[in-house]
Amino acid sequence: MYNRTLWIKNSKQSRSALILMYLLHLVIIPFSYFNKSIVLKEQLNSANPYKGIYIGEFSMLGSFSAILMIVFAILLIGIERNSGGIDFQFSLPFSPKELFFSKWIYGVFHIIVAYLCTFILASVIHFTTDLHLYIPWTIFFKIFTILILFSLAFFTTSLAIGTITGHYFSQVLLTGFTLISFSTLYYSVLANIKGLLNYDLYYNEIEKFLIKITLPLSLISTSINVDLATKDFNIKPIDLTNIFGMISYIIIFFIIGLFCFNRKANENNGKLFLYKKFGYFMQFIFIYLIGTGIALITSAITETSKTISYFIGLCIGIIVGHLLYKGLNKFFD
Amino acid sequence: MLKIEGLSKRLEEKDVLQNISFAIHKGSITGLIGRNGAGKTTLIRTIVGILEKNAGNITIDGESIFLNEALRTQIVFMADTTNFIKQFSVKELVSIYEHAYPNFNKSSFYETLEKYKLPNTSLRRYSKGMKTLLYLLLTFSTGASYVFLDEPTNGLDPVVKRKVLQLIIEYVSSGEVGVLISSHHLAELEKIIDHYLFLKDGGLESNSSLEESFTDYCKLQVAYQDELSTQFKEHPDIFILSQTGKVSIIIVKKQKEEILAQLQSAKPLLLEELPLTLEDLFFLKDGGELYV
Repeated sequence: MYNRTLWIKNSKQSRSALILMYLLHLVIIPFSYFNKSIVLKEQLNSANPYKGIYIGEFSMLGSFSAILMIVFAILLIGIERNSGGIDFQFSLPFSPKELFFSKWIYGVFHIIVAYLCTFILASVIHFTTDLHLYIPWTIFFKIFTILILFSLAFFTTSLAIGTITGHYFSQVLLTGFTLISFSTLYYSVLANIKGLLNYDLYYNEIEKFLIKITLPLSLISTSINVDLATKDFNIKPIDLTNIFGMISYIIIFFIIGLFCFNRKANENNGKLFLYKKFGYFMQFIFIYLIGTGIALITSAITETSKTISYFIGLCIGIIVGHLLYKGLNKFFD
Repeated sequence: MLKIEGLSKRLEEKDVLQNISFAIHKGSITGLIGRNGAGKTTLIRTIVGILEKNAGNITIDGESIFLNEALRTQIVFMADTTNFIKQFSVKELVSIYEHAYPNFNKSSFYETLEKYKLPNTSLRRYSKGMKTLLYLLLTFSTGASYVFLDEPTNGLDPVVKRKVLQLIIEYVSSGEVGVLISSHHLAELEKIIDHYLFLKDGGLESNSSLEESFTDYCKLQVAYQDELSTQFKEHPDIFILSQTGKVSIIIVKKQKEEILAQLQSAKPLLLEELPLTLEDLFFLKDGGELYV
């Protein structure tokens, strides 16, 4: 389970991301939360008829964490594909599964420790200032549960993507795409049906579900609005579909990561994708999305027949997408 | 004994390694030679576990390393670059290796570190040669029985090169370690290896001892009034290494005495035996175009 060799290697590789992460969790967020107690006093003493405060520190923490999680995963798995680190670790007497698991557990450990520290510091600030008079402490449990699951899901997804991509550039792009892929693909299909067949499709329930499982949107539930006059606070309740979505990301991508790392596809390190067939699939998605995007732009700016301009835009987009992908592939080959 | 049996590796629809079989014995140094792209690095990377094999087996004393993962502590690899290790300090590297290899000899490592005057600091203060020496020291201190070195002397100055080779010989002479070393520096390889493997287009073209090859083949310098006759040029047992004007350098593969007599009877202006080198064997095995 735990091996000092891999722990030392991982900590050395990801040191810069860890420094930033702990700086954010131990200094920036607690300090910002403490500042809210000063804002609270100012609001109470102001002549403003509406007295209220907005606590956005936790959703901000989540947003910064999302970026940090990708950087963290890149330092643990993406960079080493270009630095010779992969050869070094695969030649050590550990199985690929152990190697992947060591990276994952290392990340999980630091994410949990960082959030735990922020939770303790925020609680101390909460009870030593007037904030506790207006915001119930118990909502911290809800906020931190969402934040921890959100960061773990982001980290696990990005780490697993690193076992499919051969370069950190493609790791960043594919991670970003994967996290919004369901909504992007769904809306692109609807856009093409509307653009080419002039037929409107709208499924309210599907859209609601997609929003709930689109990871970055989970952070909406971590902001607090407090009305100081009535002591009412406004925070979105926990959505079980959203929680289930984040847990699913963690489980599914952890398994994908273990499986792909175990295949030792190290011959294509440095290229966009480690697996040729997967590369073809991504090429198709890339061209399709660029095509759809350009088609939407052309149909929006032209005043003639929408269907024809959409179709022309789609054709141009497919050619542009193909050339762009070809260029990218050539650059990383 | 580490035995490789029928090892094959396919990369992008191409058979990069085809049915490779050989053995590495403790106390011996085996040189892995071949042209660029012959599959040397792929072979080493497949053996040490960086790449997945498509077929074949690797055993240590009869036991498959794929069935008994613990046997992998008997294999250690030194890559051709020190890029990755340069971010660590000596202390951290020792910690990494000693927790990965249960037989890591820490005291011997520090003794040798002192002997070669390598500072116990961060590797940022190390030169390329110092980093290579340190990497080699770490590799041999693991206590692994089979060491795989990929171009360890690349880009080193002659003094460090000599130290590296000396270090390899020192460790192998204990009889506890078998080494496979891949290199393009044939002259220095020749000084230390017992066996050599010649890879050509993913196949094992030759697997023999250096001594055996030097006895089997004979390198001659001959000069005739006119250039070398077609009888010798087309002789299946004669390999023309080079031809400059009237002077030819040839390698006689078989029937040494008989061919020598034939060459002698053609009344040469010059006929003398030259010392055979690993580089000559390389050209002979490669069978490429002659160089003039």
